[in-house]
Amino acid sequence: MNEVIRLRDMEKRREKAGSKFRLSVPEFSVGAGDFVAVVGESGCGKSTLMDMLALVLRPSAASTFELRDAGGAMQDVTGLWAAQDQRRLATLRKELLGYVLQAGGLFPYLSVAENALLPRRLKGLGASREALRELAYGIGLAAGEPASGKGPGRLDGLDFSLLEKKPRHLSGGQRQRAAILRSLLSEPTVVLADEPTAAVDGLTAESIMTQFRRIARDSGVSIVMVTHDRALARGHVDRAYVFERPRLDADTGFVDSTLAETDVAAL
Amino acid sequence: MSSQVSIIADNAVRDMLDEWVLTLCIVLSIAAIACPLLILFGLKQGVVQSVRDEFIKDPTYREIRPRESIEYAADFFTELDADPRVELVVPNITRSASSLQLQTADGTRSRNTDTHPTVAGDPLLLLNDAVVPRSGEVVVSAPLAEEFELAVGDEITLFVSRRYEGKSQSAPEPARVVGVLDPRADGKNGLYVPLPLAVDVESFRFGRHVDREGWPPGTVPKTREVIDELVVGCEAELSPDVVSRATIRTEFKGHRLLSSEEAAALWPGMAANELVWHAFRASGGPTSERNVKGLRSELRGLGCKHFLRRVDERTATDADGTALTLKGLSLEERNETLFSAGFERAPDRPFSESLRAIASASGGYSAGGTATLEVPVGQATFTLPVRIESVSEAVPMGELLVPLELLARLRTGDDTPVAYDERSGEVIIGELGYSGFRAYARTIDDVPALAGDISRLGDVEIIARTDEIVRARILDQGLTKIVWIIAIVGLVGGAGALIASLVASVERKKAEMGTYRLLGFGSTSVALFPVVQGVLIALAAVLIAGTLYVVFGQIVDEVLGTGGAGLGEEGIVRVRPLQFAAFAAGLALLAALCASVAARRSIRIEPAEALRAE
Repeated sequence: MNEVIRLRDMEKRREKAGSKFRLSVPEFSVGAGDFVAVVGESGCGKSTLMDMLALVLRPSAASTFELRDAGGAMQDVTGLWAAQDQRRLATLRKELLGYVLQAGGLFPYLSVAENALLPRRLKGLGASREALRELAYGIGLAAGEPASGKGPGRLDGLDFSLLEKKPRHLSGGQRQRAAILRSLLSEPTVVLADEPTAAVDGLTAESIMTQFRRIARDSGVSIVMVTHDRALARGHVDRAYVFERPRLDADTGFVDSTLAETDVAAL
Repeated sequence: MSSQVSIIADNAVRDMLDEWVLTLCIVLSIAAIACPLLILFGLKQGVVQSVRDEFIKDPTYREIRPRESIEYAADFFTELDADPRVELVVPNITRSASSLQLQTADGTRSRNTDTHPTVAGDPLLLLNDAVVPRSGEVVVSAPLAEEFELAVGDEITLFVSRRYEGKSQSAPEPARVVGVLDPRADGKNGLYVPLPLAVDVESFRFGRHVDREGWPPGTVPKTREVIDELVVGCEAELSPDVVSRATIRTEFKGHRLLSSEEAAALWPGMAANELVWHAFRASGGPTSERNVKGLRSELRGLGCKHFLRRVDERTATDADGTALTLKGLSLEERNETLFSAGFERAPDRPFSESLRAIASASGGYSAGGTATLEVPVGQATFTLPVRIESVSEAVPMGELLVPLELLARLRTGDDTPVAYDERSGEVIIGELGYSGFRAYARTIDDVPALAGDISRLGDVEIIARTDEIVRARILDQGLTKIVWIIAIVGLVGGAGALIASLVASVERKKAEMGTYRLLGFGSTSVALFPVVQGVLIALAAVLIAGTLYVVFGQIVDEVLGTGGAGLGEEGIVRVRPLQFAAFAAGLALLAALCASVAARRSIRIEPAEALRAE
C-alpha cells in the first residue's frame, strides 16, 4: 500500500481538572486514494486524533508519525514536533492537508468561489476558474447538465450562481459541499473531514459521502473522515478505524481509549 | 508572507463591509468623539491665531519706544540695527520740538500737530494703508485726515515756528499728502514726514539755521544760561512759611541758611557784612532766569537786597597743566557793592566777552595776559583763551574768578551737546542727536525680551504692548491645556470603545481566525486582521469627523461672526490641512495601538479553534 499517513504506537495523554484521558493508536495508516472512516462515540477521542492528524496537537508519544509530501518523501512529524518546528508544521498543513470542518469553516464575508480559492491564493497556485467550475460541478454545486464531450466550454451551460453567493445564503449541505470544494482546490494529499455530515439531513449526508467516495477514487486524494455514524460510513468507506469503548485503568486512573482497524462490513 | 498580509488585509476590509452595520456603529462612535475635538481644536487655533494675526497685521504690537525723550548716543542705534530681532529702527526728534502747524491749501484751516519722522521700510505706514513719504510728501493720521478732510493727493503747507532773537519766526514747507493711515496706527493728530524734514524742524525750533527754501535764516544758537543756586542776602531771616512757599512755587526746591562766613567763602573778595544769607538750590539740574525772577517775586518786600546767581564750580587746567577751579561771579549791578573786585555788567554781550578772569595775585598771572584753559564740558573738552582782567589778593591761589555767564553756558553743556566755535568765539549747541525712536521687532514673540534688552541698553523706560502679547500667550497655553484635557478624556473613551469592539470582534471570529491558522496563515499575519480594521475605522471616523467639522465649523463661524466677535476674516474655527493630516495620522496610530490589544488576543488563537467550532 502506498501510504500517505503512517502512525505507530501513538499516544496522547490529557489531565484536566482531575480527569485523566489517554488515547492510544497502536497502528494507523492511510493509503493514497483511500476513503477512511474513524468511528467512535462522543468523548472517545475522535477530535483529539483529528487535531493530531491536522498537525495542530502534539502527540505525547509516537514511535512513527509520518506524512508523505508532494515529492513522495515521508516527513517525520514526530521529529518536527520534537524540534518545535512550527513553521515547517504550518507548511505541511498548508501543502498537504485539506479540511472539511463540522460547521463548514467558511469565511462569511467571502463568496463560495472566494472561499474555495483562498488556499490556492495562499499557496500561490493562481485561481483556475475552469478547475473551480469542474470541481464545483463534480460535487454538486452547479445546476443543469453539461454538454457531452470533454472539451472546454463543456460546462458553459450550467448555473454556477451558487459560487457567487456568500455562505449564509446556502443550505447546510451546500455549505459542506463548498467546504469540500475549498479543501480539494488546494490540491491536498489528504482531506481531513471532521463530522462533515453532522449538520445535514440524511439525504444530503448520503450525497456528501458519495462525493467523498468518488473524489477519493477519481483524484487519488486520501480522505480521513471522523464520524459517529457507523451506518453512514459502512456504505461508503474503504477502510475503517473504530474507537473501542473507553475503560478505566484502575492502576493509573486514566480513562483509556484505543483506536483499532476494523472490517467495514462489521461497522 | 506578503501574500498572506494582502489576503488578510483584503479580507479584513471585506469583513468590515460584510458587517457594515457594526462597522458603522463603531465608526460613528469614534467620529462623534473626533468631530468635537476637531472643532474644539479649530476654535482654539482660530481664536489664538486671530489674535496673533491681529498682532502680525498691526505693527504697533511690534513697536517698542521710549517713554520719554532723551538724547541717545549713535552707538545705541548702531547696536539696535545690528540686533537680528530688530526689523527697523526709526529715530525720533525731541518731543517738545516736534510740533508744527498744518494749513490747508486754501489757507482757511490750520492747527498744530505732532510730527513723526519716518524712514524707508517703516512698517507702521506700510502695514496701515500708506506709503513712506519722500521729500515734499507727508502721511497723515486718520483723525487728522478726517478733521481737515484730507485725502491722498491734497496739497498742504506746514509751518514751523520759533522765537528767535526775541522775534517770532515761521518757516513754510509745502507738502503733498501721499497716505492716510489706518485709524489703528495712530488715534491722534499725527503727521508723518521724512526724517530729514523732522530733523530740520527740530533744528529750526532750537534756533538753528536750516537751509531750506523760504525758511528764515538763523544764526548758530547760543547756549542758554542756567544756574544751580540763588544766594539771597536779607536783612532778617526768612520765616519757614516764606521759604516753604518760595520752594513750592519755583524750581528752587532746596534751601539752606548760610552763616556770613559761609557766604563770604562762596566768592573771593565778597563782603558778607551783617546780612542773613539763604541759599536756594535748583533741583534736578540747573534752572533758568525765569525761575530767578519767580523767586525774587516771592521774596519781594521781605528785605532781601542781594540775589547772587551761582553756578557750581568747574575744574580746568591751564597751559602748564596746573589744575584750577573756576568760580563764577554774578555780574548783577547791585552786587558791585559786595565785592572788592568785579567785572563790569555785560548781560547782553557775546560769549567771547565773558572769556575774562580775575586771577590770584600769587598765581603767576599778570593783568592783561591770556590764560589758555582746558575745560571739560560734558563729553568734550574746550580750549578757551581767557583774558586776565586783573589779579587780586582776594582770589586764592588755584582759583580763577570768571563771569557767571561763562560758567552758566558751560553748565548747559553738561546736559546738552555743545561746541566751542573758535571762529565766533561762542559756545553753541552741538549737533543734535536723536531723542527717541520707534523700534520694530521682527516677530511679536521677540517683543517682550527685546523690550527688556532695549530698556537696559538705553537705560530708559520702554513702552511696548508686551502685556497684550503675554496675555495672548497665556490664552494660547490655557486653551491648549483645556483642549488637551478634553482630548485625552475623549480619546481614552474612544480608545476604550475601539478596543472593546475589536476584542469582541476577535472573540466572535475565533473560529475564523483559527481557520486562517489551520489553512497555513502565520499568527502575525492573522494578528493584522484587527489592526487593519482598527486603522480603517479610525480613518473612516476622521473622514466623517472632517466632513462634520467643515459643516459645524461654518455654523460656529457664522454664529460668532454675526455676533460681532470680529476675530478675523478667515473665521475663528481653523484647522490647517497639515494639522488635519496630523490629526488623522495620530488617530490612526492610536487606533493601531488599540487594535494591538485585539491583535495579541488573535495571536493566541490556535488552529485547533477551527476544528473545535460547531
